Amino acid sequence: MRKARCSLLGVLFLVLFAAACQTAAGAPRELASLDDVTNGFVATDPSPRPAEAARAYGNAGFDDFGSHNAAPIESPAQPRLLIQKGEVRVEVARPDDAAREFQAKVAAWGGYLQQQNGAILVLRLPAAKFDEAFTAAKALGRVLGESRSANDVTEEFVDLGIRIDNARKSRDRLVEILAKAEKVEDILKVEAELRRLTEEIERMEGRKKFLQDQVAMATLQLTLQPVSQPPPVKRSRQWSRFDWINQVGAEQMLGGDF
Amino acid sequence: MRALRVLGLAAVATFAACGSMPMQLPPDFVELGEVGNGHRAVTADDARLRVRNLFDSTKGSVDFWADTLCNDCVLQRGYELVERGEVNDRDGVSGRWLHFSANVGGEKVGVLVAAWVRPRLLKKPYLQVAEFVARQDVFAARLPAVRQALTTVWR
Repeated sequence: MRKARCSLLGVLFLVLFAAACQTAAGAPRELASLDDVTNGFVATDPSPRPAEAARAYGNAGFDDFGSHNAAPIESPAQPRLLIQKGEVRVEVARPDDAAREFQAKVAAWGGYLQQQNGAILVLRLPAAKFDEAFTAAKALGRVLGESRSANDVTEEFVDLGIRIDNARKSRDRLVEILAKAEKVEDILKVEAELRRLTEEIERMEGRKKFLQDQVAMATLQLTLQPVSQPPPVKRSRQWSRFDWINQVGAEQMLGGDF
Repeated sequence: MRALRVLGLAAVATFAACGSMPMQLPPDFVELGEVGNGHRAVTADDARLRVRNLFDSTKGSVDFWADTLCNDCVLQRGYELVERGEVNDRDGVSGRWLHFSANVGGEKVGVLVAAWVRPRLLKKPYLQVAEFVARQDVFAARLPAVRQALTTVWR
């Protein structure tokens, strides 16, 4: 009897444990209260997995990038969102001419000069042309130094999309709540939350737009250094075969011999 | 006693003659004394004057030595020849002078070198050389007086 009771308790425990696990892992999160609505978008999983995030966000946000960086990230083989930056230092005979020549190329690729400080040029150009520009910059003269980097912002971009989406949904629900609210206190509270949410959405959209720009247009810093002239060969003085001549002159008069 | 006095005076005179600059010093120059086989004088603004006897085994004429010195200064030292000419010393012996402009240690200076060939009995001649060097502006101001003083040089 006692043994049967123990077995029953054990089975009950296992059933309860399994139910608890299922609830924790699979139960959808529902926003019931006002707090849940207003904080819900922040409480969403802060680091979604890329595949999940892409599904949640859809592909709409990637269409802005053209074919080079625009594919969704369902498959690891597909390109990611990269902010490409590079720096090339080259020694050229005529830096002004080289700068003009390179700027013309960049303009033809759809890029532009962002900043110039003497012989240092900061150029923005379509990401698709970055490799070509990097190679062309190195071909201008003798390469003194080069570096390039690609910052993967795929996760941040996707995360922003999810957060914006959630925030918009939350805002829509707040608007619904506001329409039903009767107490002045409730109305004021909802309106304050609406303002805060709207600002947050604008901030995130700004950040997203910035990332889009950075991904779409790569940055290349080009430093053009003039070819350094070899130091003039100093002709060493040949001493006279006549000793007295070597003893005469300004060097001797102004030196220690005087 | 009288002979001793005469000998003493002669010795003093000889010593005095050896110890002084063999030219009438231009204005403002103060003699520094003899060093080696040369005499030196300076001004307060650091114009420098020196007269020396220099020896060389080569028996060259005064023109030979002037040309040699000129070539050495221009071609080897980078001096710029401004002018050259002849000058007779106090005894009428013809010498040559060379006026250069030079850059020494980043400073532009004027250089004047005059030379006379001094023959000696049974020996090879030697060269008596007068040199005047000063900062460009000082040099220009004092050059006429020094050129004049060259005509008072004695051997």
